Amino acid sequence: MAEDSRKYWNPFTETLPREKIRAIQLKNLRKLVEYSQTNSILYQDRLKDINPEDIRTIEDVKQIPLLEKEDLRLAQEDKSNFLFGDVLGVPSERVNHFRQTSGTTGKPVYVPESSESWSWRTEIWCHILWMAGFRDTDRVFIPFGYNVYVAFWEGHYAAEKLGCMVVPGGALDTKGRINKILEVKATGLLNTPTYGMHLAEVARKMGLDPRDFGIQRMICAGEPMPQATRRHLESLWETEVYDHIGGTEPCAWAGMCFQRKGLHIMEPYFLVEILDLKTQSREVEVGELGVAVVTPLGRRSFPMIRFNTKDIVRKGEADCDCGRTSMMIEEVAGRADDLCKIRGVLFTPVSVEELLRAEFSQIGEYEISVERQGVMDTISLKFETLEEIEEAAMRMLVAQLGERLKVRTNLRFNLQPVKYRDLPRYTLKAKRFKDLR
Amino acid sequence: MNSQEKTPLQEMKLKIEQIEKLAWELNDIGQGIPVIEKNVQNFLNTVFVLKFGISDITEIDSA
Repeated sequence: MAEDSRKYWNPFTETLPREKIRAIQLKNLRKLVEYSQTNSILYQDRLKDINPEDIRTIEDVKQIPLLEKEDLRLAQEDKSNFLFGDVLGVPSERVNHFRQTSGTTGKPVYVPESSESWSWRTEIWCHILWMAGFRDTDRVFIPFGYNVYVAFWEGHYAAEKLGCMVVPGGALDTKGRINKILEVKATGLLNTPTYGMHLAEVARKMGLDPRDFGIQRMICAGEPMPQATRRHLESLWETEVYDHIGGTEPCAWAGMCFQRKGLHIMEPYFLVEILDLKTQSREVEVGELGVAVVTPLGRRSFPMIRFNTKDIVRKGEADCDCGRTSMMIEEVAGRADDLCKIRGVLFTPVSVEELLRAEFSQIGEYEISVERQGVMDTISLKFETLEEIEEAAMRMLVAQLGERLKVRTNLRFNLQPVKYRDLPRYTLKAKRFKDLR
Repeated sequence: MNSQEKTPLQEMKLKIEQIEKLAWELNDIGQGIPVIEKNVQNFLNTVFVLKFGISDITEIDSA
């Protein structure tokens, strides 16, 4: 038992039979509804027709309307309750962690956390790190200044709680960070996929091989990471690379175990619905794509019920060789915000990322843009190669890339090779897709 | 195991309840003293987390 119990952060919740997971979720959902009605101005209105006792099955949650990011923005706009407005679920003097969303899709949302809620968020990240194999013997380097963005703070606090030695790398430039990794003999990294690739690229330019650094595991946050990108990072660093999914508002809600085949939803801490993309009302079948709607069941300072994450995911089964019984996400297919139609074809930028990382390892940074010229939409891809290549080889690369993109996306791209470092570099969320129509 | 015996989970739940009770008692005695109040809050945060991961399960088992 002792050895087996160390396999899991919490051997009780992680191996619970499905019906017990559902029972705990239901109990905590009722509690959350009741709490929110009493303590959150936002929910006093949204839940005015709901009686917690009427929530008898998990499906009854559908009586509650979806919560959109725009609802949160409106609940904070011009409200007298400085700084968090109507979303606050505790007296403001109990808020001691300020975080905010990145503002990629509009005005940032301010996220209030009390020490109790922050402990809960940290605990979720302990699950994620433990599942990925982080232990108290690890030296974890975090190559960022985290500013007000939440994921790396959560990772930092959780790694400390696990007993890891945490080395923050905020004030350094990329070369300085590489030297620090070597100096402290870091065994683990927490970074965005983009920055993981950039670190490796800079290390190589310094004449170093990241495969010799001794990094045993890397956990990525901040951006969608297709399998091809994850494998590419594994080969660049010769390490195990783990994904997770989450957001500033709902917290991280699914993580990857050592099997690295999909993501485990953090049940029973979260209630996650995966709803069909068209109506957002029907729970999708296993294998089907849907949008993730998330209810964190243990947050009181920022109560949140049925938050529409706009993350498009493929529903998996509750069946993993690691022994965990939680429902799984087979893949994260992208963001609903990025899903668009170009000349009548449904397009997601993740499909380009997947192709480049799987088949064109000579390509480094890239940028996709869509423009309207007259009545026609055109899609362009600017890209850099990691090494300079001759003109004839470049012509061949452009031809091959164009062909593969056509097969993959059903779209003909205008391809524009650019000089190395002409494109912007990103530390946190990369913005490689621009819809300029 | 006879019906009077507690499972490890039930024992853990009991200890979590005891820690919570003791933390509040300490808070009452040390009211107005920052070193007590703020550190008690830390105990209670941990209790909150443990109730989610441990106590919840025993409550479902006994329901």
